[in-house]
Amino acid sequence: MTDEIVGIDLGTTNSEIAIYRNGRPEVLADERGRIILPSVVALSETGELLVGEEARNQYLLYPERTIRSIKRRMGTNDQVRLGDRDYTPQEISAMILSRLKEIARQALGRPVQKAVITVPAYFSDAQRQATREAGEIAGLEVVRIINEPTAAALVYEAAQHQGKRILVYDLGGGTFDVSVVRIEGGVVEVISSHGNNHLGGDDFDHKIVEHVLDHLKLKHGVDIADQPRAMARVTRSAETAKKQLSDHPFARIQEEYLTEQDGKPVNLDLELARHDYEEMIAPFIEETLGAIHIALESANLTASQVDEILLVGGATRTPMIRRRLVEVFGKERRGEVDPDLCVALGAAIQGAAMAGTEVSAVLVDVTPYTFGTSALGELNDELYPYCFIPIIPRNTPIPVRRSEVFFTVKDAQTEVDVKIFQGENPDAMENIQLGEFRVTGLSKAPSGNQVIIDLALDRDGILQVSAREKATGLERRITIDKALSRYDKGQLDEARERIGALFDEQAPADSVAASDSALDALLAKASNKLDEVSAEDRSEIIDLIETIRDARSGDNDAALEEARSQLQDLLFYLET
Amino acid sequence: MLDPFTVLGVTEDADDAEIRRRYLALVREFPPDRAPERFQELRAAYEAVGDERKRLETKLLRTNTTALTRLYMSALQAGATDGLPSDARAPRATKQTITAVLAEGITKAMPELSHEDRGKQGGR
Repeated sequence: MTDEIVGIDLGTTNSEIAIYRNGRPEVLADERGRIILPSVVALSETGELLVGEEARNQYLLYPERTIRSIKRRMGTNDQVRLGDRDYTPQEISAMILSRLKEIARQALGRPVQKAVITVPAYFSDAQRQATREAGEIAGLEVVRIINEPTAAALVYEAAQHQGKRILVYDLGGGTFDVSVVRIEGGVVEVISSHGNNHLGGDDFDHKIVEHVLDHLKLKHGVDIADQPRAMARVTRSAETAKKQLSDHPFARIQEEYLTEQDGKPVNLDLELARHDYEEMIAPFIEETLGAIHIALESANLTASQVDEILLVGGATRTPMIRRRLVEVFGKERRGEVDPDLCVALGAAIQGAAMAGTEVSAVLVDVTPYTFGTSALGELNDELYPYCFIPIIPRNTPIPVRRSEVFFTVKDAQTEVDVKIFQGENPDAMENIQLGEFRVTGLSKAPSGNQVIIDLALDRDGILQVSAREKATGLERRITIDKALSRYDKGQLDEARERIGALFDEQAPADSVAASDSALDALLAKASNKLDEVSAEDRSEIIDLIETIRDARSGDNDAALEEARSQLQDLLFYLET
Repeated sequence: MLDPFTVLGVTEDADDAEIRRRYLALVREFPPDRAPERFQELRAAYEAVGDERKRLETKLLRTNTTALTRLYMSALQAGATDGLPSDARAPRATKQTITAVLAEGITKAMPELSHEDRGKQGGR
């Protein structure tokens, strides 16, 4: 089947690739049975390109040659340095996508060409366009960009029969989204969406890192902010501590010989209580709760009218989040989805639907942003030339086409400037300008000559704008996705060749650390089981797989043996 | 615009539940992905008649086109004669006028609905 369309969750911390087959979506595993690919790209000592776990593992050794959380820079003009050259965020993301594409080729035994890629609902036009470009650089035809919380709801839909209102709380590594979704009669309708593009689990890590830095200054009088390797170790410890605090009231942050001070070694040993950690992250959590209120308000719902809450993204394992949600919603109403995998699974469902496969749910998504233009009007009781005039309000189902009539102000006015904005502020200048053009050659009519501005927004968030003089039909139009693109066609081809070459240079698959084939087989068997077991068993299996992978890469033989035997027991139990 | 009742294939006395059921069935048949144009028609129709108040507005607009067109044109004139030095002018006055006319019509037709907040519909 050459028309098959895979689903990709291109996350801040982790990425996955999934496909819909035999009537259900499944996440594809690599040659070692791993289904989660850390979104980390690095150059090894020998100049070899590493993507995923291997890249993450060398972060401690070569932080300066390792790139993490590139998603946070998508849509910016930032360049990141890797080896001896600079790359755009699109190119780094393309390396992750290329690796996923390779995983799928090996797992399916045939190449994949088309993909649905997910983005946070609150991603801007520029960020979506950058994601699309990353796909193209990786040699993928991106048939659709869909929103992460919506993808999660699509997975959940399968089990639903009667109408329900769902709140999807999606806190990933770098972004936060909340969506209110109505599921009824086989249709998943997004009612409203809100979020923050720069809030995620990474910020929790940073808070712990700051805390450690303060401690080091206070206790040892040492500042490691400009020591990349020490910082990498602290960052990694902070991540581990964060995870521990999800299950334990205390976490110990220990790094021996972290650095030197006056020729003497500095050992880091610090205990962090969950209570203190929660104080650090409380402002972030309160911000997410604020976003929930905005989303509920736009959906005209109160908290008590929400039937279920879906938690998506690894950071939602934070106990404080679960506790605060119970406080806000009165009781626990949690729908079960796998917070790490449901986005990729949902993307695969959408991919299958677009490829023409009959799937359980039809998706109706909305625009999270308002699009409009500027005109003379009143702002704070004064005449102001750049009042924002919304044409497509946020939370309008897409695709959609809307128009609005405007009027010339002067007699014989032959030109109008049309500016297009994205945002919510009544002052257009406070919103993001997406494009502008001038309509010239209007008839020399008295003031009040009608000009119709028409906006059409498609399912990919691409905006077509036209302005037409009603009396004569004179028209000018632009497509905004071109206005925002960082690449033209030639540059895209060039980037694709460059990134493709990086992958061809390396030996296929097993350039990685020595492998233990019995252990690989066990991991593969475990991940194959994931789809058929209960959610509880599934999360236990995933935890064990994670532990084994961490122990293996960290050369922790005791932990490895223990997790291996636990996993064996669990699989045995599941089979009998 | 196409007649929303015809687009959805319901009679004018259909209630909210029936209209919603019909809308969802049609969306399944013509999803935004595969039938974007048809979906937009369905959505526009559903937004026009999805609840009682909207149905009333739609019917009023349909029966009072002449009067509304006249009002609309005069509002245009009023809004456009200031002669201020800028490029384009928002049609705010126009919309407010239409909203006011509708509110009056609805109050007359269904007094029990008149206390409802107008919500966001007439805004900006």
